[in-house]
Amino acid sequence: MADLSLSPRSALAPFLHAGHHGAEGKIGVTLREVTACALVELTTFKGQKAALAQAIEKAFGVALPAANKSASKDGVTFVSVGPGKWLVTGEGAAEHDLIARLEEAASSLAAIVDQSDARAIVEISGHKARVALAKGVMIDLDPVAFKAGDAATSFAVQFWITLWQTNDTPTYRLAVFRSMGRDLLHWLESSAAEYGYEIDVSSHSISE
Amino acid sequence: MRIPCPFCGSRDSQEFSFLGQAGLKRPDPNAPDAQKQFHDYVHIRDNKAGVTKELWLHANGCRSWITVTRNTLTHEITGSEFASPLTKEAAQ
Repeated sequence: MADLSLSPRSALAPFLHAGHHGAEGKIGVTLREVTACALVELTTFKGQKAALAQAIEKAFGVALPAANKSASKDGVTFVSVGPGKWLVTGEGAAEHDLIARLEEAASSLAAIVDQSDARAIVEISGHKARVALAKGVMIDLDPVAFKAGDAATSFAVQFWITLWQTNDTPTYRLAVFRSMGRDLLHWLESSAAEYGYEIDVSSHSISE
Repeated sequence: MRIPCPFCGSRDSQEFSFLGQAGLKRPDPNAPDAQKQFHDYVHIRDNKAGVTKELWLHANGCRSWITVTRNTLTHEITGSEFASPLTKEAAQ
């Protein structure tokens, strides 16, 4: 009998060519697909926002972030994506039990929808990451306006993106609809080519 | 053109899609003159030269419907708010 067990597949593995590309002798940007990452959309029920914030704080030890912000703890990140809506990512130990923990904490307070196979996430870091991104992202990424912990849902290169900055390297993460992942990657590679870039697949744990 | 989203802040108008005049009330289909009322509701617009209230969807952003106050003579936008009180409550 055929093996019917389901296992996650990378959105981008066939298109990621490991190693150095673009301008010779320098690496301004590092690109990496974020795999082994659970994704959940959390949407508050009517009139339950305060209760939801309390429940999440109790279960995850983190305050639900306000508009245009993200908040992380122990591998779980909440990214604000709209009024009463958060995209939640879980990595490491949090990958496999994220949805169960959210349901236990808040199933009567919010809609909890698994998005793990619905998005592709690309991480872009390095001292030229900001200028490479700024060529297509319409929000102001200058450190005065956008820092680690900041987030946005916006429009870039003809598609809807969720963008958040994770550290001051700077490192950014971009989530797009999975079918747009290849186009996102193509654009990021074109944009980063003049600075020299590296595609890092060392953390790629998901089969092609 | 920049549009101030009450949730996301000032954003480029490319992120938004336009619906039209805000504040229209769907007529009662059981009213005796329902046909005329629906005709006006669907087709008749003020087309004001001056300050108007318009519905915009922040489609490539937070996906909220917002009511934008815009002057059609100068294109100046003087304000915006969530179109739905439920969205406003969820944003607080």
